Amino acid sequence: MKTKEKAHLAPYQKPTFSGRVFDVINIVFMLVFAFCMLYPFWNQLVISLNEGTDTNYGGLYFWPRQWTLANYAYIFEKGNLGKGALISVLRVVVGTSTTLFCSGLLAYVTTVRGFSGRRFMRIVYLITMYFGGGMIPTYLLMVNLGLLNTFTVYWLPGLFSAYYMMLIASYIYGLPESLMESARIDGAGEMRIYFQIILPLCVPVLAAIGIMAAVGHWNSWFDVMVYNPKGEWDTLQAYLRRILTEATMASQLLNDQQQQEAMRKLTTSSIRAATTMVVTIPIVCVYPFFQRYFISGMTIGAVKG
Amino acid sequence: MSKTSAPAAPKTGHARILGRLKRERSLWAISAVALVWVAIFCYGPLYGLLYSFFDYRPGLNLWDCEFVGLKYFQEFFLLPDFTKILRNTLVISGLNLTIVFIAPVIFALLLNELHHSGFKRTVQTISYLPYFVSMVVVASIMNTLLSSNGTINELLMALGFIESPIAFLNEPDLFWGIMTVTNIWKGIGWSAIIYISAITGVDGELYQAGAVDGLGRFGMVWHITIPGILPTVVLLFILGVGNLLNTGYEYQLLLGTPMTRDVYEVIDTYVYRYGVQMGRYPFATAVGLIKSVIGFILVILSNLASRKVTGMSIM
Amino acid sequence: MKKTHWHRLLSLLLAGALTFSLVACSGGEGGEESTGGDTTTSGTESTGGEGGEETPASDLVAPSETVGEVNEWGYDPTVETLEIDVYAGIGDQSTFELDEEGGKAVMDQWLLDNLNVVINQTYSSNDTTEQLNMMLASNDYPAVLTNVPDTMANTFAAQGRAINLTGYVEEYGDNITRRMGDYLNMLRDADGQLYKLATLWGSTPNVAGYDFGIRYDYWLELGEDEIYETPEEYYETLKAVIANHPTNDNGDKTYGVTGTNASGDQGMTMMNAMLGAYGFVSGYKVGDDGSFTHWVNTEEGREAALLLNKMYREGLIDPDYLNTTYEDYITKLTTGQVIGNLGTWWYAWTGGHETWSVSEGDAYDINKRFMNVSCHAPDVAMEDTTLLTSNFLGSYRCVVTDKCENPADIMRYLNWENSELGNMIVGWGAPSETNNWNIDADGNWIVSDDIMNVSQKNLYYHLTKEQNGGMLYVLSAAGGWLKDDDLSDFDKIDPRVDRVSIYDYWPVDPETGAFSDEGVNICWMNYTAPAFDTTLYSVTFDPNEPISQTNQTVTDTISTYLANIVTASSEEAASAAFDEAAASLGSLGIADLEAFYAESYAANSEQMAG
Repeated sequence: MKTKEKAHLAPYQKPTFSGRVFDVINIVFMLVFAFCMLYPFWNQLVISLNEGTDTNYGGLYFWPRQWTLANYAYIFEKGNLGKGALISVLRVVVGTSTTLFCSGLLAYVTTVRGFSGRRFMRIVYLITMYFGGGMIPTYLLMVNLGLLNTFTVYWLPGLFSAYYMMLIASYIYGLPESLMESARIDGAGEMRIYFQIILPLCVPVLAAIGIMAAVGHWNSWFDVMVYNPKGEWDTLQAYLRRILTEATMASQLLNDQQQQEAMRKLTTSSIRAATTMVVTIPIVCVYPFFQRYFISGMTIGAVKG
Repeated sequence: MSKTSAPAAPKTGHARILGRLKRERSLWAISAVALVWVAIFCYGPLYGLLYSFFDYRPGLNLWDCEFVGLKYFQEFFLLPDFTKILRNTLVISGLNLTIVFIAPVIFALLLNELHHSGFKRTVQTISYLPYFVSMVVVASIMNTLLSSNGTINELLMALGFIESPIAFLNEPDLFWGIMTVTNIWKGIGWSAIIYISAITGVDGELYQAGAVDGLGRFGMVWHITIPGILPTVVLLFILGVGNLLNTGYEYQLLLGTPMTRDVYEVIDTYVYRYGVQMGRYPFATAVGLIKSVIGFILVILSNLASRKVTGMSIM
Repeated sequence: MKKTHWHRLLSLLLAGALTFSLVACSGGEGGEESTGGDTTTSGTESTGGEGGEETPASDLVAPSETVGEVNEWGYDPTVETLEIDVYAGIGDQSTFELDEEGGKAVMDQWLLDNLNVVINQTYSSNDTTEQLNMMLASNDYPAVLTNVPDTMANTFAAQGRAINLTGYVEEYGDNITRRMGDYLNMLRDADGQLYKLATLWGSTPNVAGYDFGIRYDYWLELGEDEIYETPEEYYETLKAVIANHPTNDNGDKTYGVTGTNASGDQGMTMMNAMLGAYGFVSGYKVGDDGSFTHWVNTEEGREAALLLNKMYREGLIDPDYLNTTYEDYITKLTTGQVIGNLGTWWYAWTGGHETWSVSEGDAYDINKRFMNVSCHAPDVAMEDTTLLTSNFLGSYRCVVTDKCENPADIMRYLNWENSELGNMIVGWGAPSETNNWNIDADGNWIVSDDIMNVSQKNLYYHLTKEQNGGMLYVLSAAGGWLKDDDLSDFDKIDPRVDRVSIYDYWPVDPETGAFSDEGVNICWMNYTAPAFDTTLYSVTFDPNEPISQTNQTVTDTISTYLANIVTASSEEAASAAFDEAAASLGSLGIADLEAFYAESYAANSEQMAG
């Protein structure tokens, strides 16, 4: 694969004064922007590294006041993070690969010019983006299919996605039709065209959707809570969600004493922040991994060249 | 984006159809799997929409429940605060469909203009961090930043812009603005991913040709990059229009106060409290159905408009 | 072009056809086995199953074979192990399972060894009502449900999914009938049948309820001889303290009181505390004739709201009181940014001395704490305030469902839970050398010396309790004060502790009855409001009745109006906002709500009488 850095358009143009001014402004803007984006995350990191009781005094902004790793030690000692992490990773790997494969194939099908079912398939799927039966019928479906308390419930209901299909299809439309035409003339089957010609060209969009799907799987907690009542397949995110919403749930208890008891057991904000870090950092690292596929030039240029 | 589909139309009748199916058998095989799946997981549960026409209670069979026709649909349109709720919903999702929608596009374009690839990737990675911070945490940070002795007020006071602290979160006039800024902040890096990938997909030869034609840097962006990602932008916009009435409720529930209720109450918060929380499924379903129908009609209309104006269509 | 259109139309039609064929085909609900022919609504109050399903005593399922001898724990175990499947509401199942090696294992083993009982308890992470509705829809729920809201218990009864317990309670529930007394009647439906029990019942052991708290050390500085008694005096005192301490150690401006952003609070807690001083119940003034008047329609309400407004205008109420999280509230108390506490008494403990005594270690001064104080309106005697309320039946119910194979067995176990000894064991864990309590040779319930130190409660009492599985399985038992009175017999409890409940206890001097911890005495010495029984005032809203929407609308609207009144810029503006609130709520049907409360009260009184 040839990797021409298209990101810089420099080879094609001479630097101009206005261009330089723009570059400076742009860099400054990006620095401020990056700060705003990073700060809350940084703040959580600071809180997670601060001693729990001291955190109650507030006023933690840029640096921990009473440095400690005890919060991290505590959450790892509690023990169920390891299993949760494993299930989360498994879910991301299985969920992302299956949905990429299936949605990609579906997207291709809906872009083959001349295919009689093309528009039908698009509309059938488009409708699913806006119409749903609601919580109870969906729950009953999972019960009837025997998916309750299984790992399958994480990836099977998300196998085909109308949204991903639309995005991938729109990318495929942007590809030169001549490539597929010539392959067809050479007698290639549709599957071969997809896997040998389309798929390599679609790497950037598949990478983008891969990130979306991976993050989506990693972040989802609702299905974990509803379809896994026994907690056997609890993911990290479900664990985090419970800790984060503890206070709200306690405040909804109607019985004053139960409420007091729940509030007494409340996780400290330092431990919550530490959990946020442990749950978030692994998935953040996924981006740079996919990012290397966002390299231009290798797409069209590579094939034609 | 299909522009036209014009398969060569040969011969007659059954032979034609059979021949065609035979030619397309592998495509139909894939479609069949996808259809079975979608029938089970998406269309199967749609019977739940019928709940909205009955006094449905979980645990009872639908045919044992009283048929009430459009009672719950009427309830929605006859809400005492209906106009206010509708206004808030339209304003908030209007902001989401314009400012919040376009910000990631601009961000992706600006990012593309950075020369240093290390810096570029770092900014890109950082930009999507807020997406991972739970709304619960965001709310608590906002409470700290925007409180009367919070950073923002202290900064403004130190700079002499204001004399006494502003109650940001209790000020109805500021609610939509703060919500929009938060939405941009939370989603910009995330939504930009798809545009960054689309920019990558723009044919490199076009830039070479552009350089030959003497296009400047901004000219390249205007004449090549933007048209290159336009199909994606249009697609996402059309899909987004369908969610016009969906604004979510988490932000409002976490950061709304009694003083901003007049501007934050939207369909979703209302349904959450009066439908979901109270366990009134028919009402929640009826409102959901109304939103779906309107959303779908809007998608079809905007698709028509797009086809007329830009020649692009999602169907 | 035409062709394209035609194609699209066809596709749309096909898609539509697909949708409707599926709609037509599916429709099977999980609830085929539902026996409840009663498809109409369950009515407002506890109207349960239909009369035809009454279970006369003779029709009761016979209990399983037992050992035939009541053991030292007051239970006659079944020969075969009794397994009880329980859904216990919202909770974290994974932590519960992890507890396998901790308190859960201890309690499981004890139950098996001594009672031959195994309890399989599950929780859900999502909302209890939602989970119960899904259970109903899928017809998949265990034999016993507990921590269930009253409306859902009624729903189970109305659909014929709850077992009629009337006969079983009569036959096997002597502890329940004895200890709950007439209150049990309030759980009965219109036909006098019993389909639900209370999960945690009993009068509250709390010493304080709504309070007008203040920093004790700051109050001492004022050198006043007597404690403030009315809300107005409280305001004066706060003002004097703020004048002495305009900023805290961090340099932040100080305030008298604040509130939280919890959906039920947002200023309402402050107002309710104020109204408690006027003797209002749940925000209503109760007339001698049994009429209910909402506070927006009363002069007392106006007085209380205007006082809050005055406090706000003079900087005594934190301007962020509407958007402060519970934790920020605690932080504000801890950092001295807020020096009073108008609302829930224990917030001031959590944010006050409980934090300081740990973080300041030996340097901690016992006077640095919040004092809980009760106030009464000038025209209302302290005896008539409603600051410290207690609902005997609590808010949650226990239901035995139609999935239960032998209700008699379950009832025998529930009856044991409701015995004095059983109650203590499910609450504190089984008595032993290593637990917080033990039973001596004379049969007295002795508490361990470790727990006599209140400041170490978290370390000793609560931790030990958890390790012994205390409060893990409370299906239906007294959550209130385990008091020795006409109904219950707790005279064996160690005289060194008082106000024992499954949650808590307070060490006292056996001679004088005063709290043995000096700090606790300071906190509570000026809380003199008596407990007020609100059981008869409890109201259950059926979500499918229009009145529940009226209630929700009024609740939503009132918080906005209260905020407008409190934050108004002048007394005239506040008064005008109050008038506006009264007018607006009038048009939203507050009269219906007042009538509904009055009816519920009348019905409750009648039911209680039996």
